[in-house]
Amino acid sequence: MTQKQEYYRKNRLKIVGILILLVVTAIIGIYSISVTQYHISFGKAIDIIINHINNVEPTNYTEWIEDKIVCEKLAPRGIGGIAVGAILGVCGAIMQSTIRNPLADPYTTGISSGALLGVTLFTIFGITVIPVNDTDLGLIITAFVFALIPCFIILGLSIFKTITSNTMILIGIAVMYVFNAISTLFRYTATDEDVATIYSWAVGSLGMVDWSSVPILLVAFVIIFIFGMGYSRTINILSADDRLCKSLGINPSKARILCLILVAVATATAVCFVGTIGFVGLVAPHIARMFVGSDNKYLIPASAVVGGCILIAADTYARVATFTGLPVGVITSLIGGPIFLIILLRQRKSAWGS
Amino acid sequence: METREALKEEYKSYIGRKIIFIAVCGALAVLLIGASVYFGGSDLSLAHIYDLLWKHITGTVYEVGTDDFHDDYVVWELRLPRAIFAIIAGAGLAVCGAVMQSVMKNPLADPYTTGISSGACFGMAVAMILGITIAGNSITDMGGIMNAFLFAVLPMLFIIVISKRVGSMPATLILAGVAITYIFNSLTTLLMMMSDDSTMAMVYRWQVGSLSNVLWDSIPLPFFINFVGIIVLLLLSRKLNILALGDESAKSLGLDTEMMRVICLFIISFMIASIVCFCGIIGFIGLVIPHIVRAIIDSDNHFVIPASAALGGIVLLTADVIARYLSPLDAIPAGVIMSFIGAPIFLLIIVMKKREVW
Repeated sequence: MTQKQEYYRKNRLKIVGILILLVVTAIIGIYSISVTQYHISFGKAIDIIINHINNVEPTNYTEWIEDKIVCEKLAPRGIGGIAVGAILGVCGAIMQSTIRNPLADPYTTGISSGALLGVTLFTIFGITVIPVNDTDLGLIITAFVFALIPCFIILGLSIFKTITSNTMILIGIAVMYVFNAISTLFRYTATDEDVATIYSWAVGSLGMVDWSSVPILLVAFVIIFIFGMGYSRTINILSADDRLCKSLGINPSKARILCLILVAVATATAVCFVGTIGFVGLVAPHIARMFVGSDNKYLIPASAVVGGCILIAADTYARVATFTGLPVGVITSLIGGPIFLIILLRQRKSAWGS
Repeated sequence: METREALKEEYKSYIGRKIIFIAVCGALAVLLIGASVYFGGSDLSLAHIYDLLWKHITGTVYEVGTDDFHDDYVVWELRLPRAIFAIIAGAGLAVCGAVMQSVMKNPLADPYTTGISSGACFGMAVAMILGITIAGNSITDMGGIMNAFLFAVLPMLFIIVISKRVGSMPATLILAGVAITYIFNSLTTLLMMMSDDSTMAMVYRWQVGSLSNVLWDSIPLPFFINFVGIIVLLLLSRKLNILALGDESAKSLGLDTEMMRVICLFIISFMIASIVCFCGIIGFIGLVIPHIVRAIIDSDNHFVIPASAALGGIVLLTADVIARYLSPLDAIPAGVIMSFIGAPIFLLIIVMKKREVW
């Protein structure tokens, strides 16, 4: 077998691996629509969906309720969950490669805390960036704009000072502390109802996803995915060395800023609808890398699939575990936290320029 | 000879400045107790309060039901223990921060940023919600503190391991701390979800870092533990100074560096556990105070430790006064005010990366 054939064979294997993962994710996603506290069996859930698509009217009240639960609540939750997980996975993969730090994650760079501050300000004081009549839309826009602030703080500092990738993450954490402190302080002036809204945001839950948010999430995913795939060669070079970039005619800081801005926008979109779900963006690329290696052409789609799979599995499990509905953010932290520590321990000293 | 005299003089005034700083901080703390007792729900004049305190100490007893009895109760039973606890907790946390920073040679180390506080918090939550304590006593006693201690030691050991494996880069340590905080917080959330509403509310009110639950009962244990802890650390301060020179120099001067580290970190864990048990997580004191102290009186641990204790007490007490001033109904925890002040300073320390004091 020539080397070329070997290379193509390996690539085919990677594609097959990604496809298998995709099928697994789809199966979990479809299964997730029957997991509720309302005792709807899997077969029945499928029937309901088929009937809904075929426009068969529900005959009695129970069927009508079941139709509402499955089609209006669980189905968008499943699709939205996979989309959010995929967005976070892709963003994590791009970030880890571009700032060359395996601990980078859209959340460790402060995006989530920014969005949370936006939500807090909007819910309590009604502060909006763009005045709109629709409350939900106002909330989302405000969260979105505030989510971008930490990213721009990091970018701004990186223009004026040469900062290492670790300092970048550290600044993200510091910004997170500052924003969280402000959010917490304001929360004490809020009414109980507002506090409940903010709390469900802070812990992260897919329960807020409905049909109106699914298209936006899907569009965000498609944009970041196409960008990542189209830009994967540049990202590969970026992950090697700045000097190599320059010699190949790429401006590394410009490319990095472009990547970070797009990642921030995509993550902010996801955060707007589901709140802070940590560690998916961190863990998914690491798992994906075990299967397909570090070539971003394969890593990005693999991360997307793994991210979607993790998030929908965690959400399904959270619904099974407690009927009150454990926030999915708690589960992802419990899985992701230890993995984060393991990655940290496996780091070589040399990888940590300070 | 003359230069030697001059040097001696200079050294004396140098030391004198440090002692004056510590003395001023100590005096301020005492004054602030009065101010802290002054702010609160019911309106009492400052003179009246000192009068009441004095009378209580001299043994005046009021008839039940009179105004004086009520005022005396408010001042003596509700506000005073809180103020005293604020000073104990502030002093303890600040000293822990100062010692951690020199032991780990890391300007960003602090009980909060390294996840030790959240570990202790989880341990206490286990005691409060599941009723499991390793010491077997009730949660108000040593049982809760031992639980908190056990779970505070876990992140501490992890940090010792990790700083050996990857070197004690400031960033690495804080990243590990963030992950540890996340894990323990999710575990605490899980426990809270499993408990009934009233326990959940109790745990929530306690863990946010509020001093409002402090009564006289909660003073003796933390006072004792922190007092002894600070004294021991003060006795070890010369060795801490040697440790700050670097492991190789310290070893050549005959110091068992590993042993020293472990001893210090165990004492710190115990102090943190005793504080967290009663007021939940209060962040950034241990981070910010030693930096301020070092900027004023340099890095000799012999002086940094007492000065941090004094300033830490003042700052936490002030934070509590501000919190009660902003919300007379006691809705805002002191911990929130503290992170409001401390978090921007944390950001500043990272961005400025001031190396001179190190």
